[in-house]
Amino acid sequence: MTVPRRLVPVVLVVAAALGVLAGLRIWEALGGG
Amino acid sequence: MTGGVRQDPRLGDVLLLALSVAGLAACLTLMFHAMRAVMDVGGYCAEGGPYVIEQHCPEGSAPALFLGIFGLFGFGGLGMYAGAKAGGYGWVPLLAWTGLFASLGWNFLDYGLLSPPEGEGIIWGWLIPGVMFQVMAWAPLAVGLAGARAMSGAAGGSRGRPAAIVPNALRGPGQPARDSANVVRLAAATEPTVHTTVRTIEMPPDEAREALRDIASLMGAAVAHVAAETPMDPDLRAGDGAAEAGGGAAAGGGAAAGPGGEADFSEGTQALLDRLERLADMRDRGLLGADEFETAKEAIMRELESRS
Repeated sequence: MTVPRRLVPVVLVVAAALGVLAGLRIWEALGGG
Repeated sequence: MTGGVRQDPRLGDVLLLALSVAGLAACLTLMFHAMRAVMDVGGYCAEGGPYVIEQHCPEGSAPALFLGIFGLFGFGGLGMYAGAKAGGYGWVPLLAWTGLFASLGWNFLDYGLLSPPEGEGIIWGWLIPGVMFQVMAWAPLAVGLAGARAMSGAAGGSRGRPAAIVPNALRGPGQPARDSANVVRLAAATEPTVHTTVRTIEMPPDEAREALRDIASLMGAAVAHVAAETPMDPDLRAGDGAAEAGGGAAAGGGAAAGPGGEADFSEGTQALLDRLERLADMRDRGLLGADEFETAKEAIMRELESRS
């Protein structure tokens, strides 16, 4: 199964946004904020 | 596959790349917040060790920095692997460099210039690294983008990759510009320099096998012939010439050849026998086929007969 090449940047941007949210959650879990 | 057109990447590779991008973003977020927390307490702190600590680190900042730093390396490597496997996305994790220095540099600028702690003016010790971090963040990206634009113009629309564009983008004053198209070919091997015409001939497998065997046989025979005719050792070749000269002197003088001539003659013969031995060795090791060996052997035998 393949992913159309034009969709890859969209996938990566969404992944980066989710990563930032995950980072915030981890930061709170560690006691920061 | 025509040059410049790539196949769509596999789902698994894209997901792995997306995972690494998400991991990189999470690590950058952790480091961004941990740095701000440390700057909130004055910009330095310590934890652990047999010391009296004046300023302890804010809660969570030490593990966040630990996770962030090592996570960047781990997810960066994973992203390069997955990106390269997906085809042409190996450079994506390099953007984390810009993300890291831009975000940390922003912290320096924010605390040093825009909103310094109460009662303090501009903090030069933070402002200067803030500017330096911004330069470190954006200069490589600008160089990469400029190179990519140059490549896309010079290489007929094929997209530049960091490995290909750096040589031109980092060209110093006075250095001649490299042929961008060649750089692309070197890095990505998208187009051959010499265009060749390939003709496809369809034939049954048995015939194809036979044709290939014929070609291999001809090539092997050619190699064997050259090996048989040309001794590796130049001294042996000189010995052959001397032997011929000695033989000529013997025939012309009508007398027996001297001891030196006999020695040369036997040396030349020995060289031929050595050559035969080498060929047999090559045959035993599978480098020569039986037919090729026979061809070379006949050539040597003919030469030996002519000597005797």
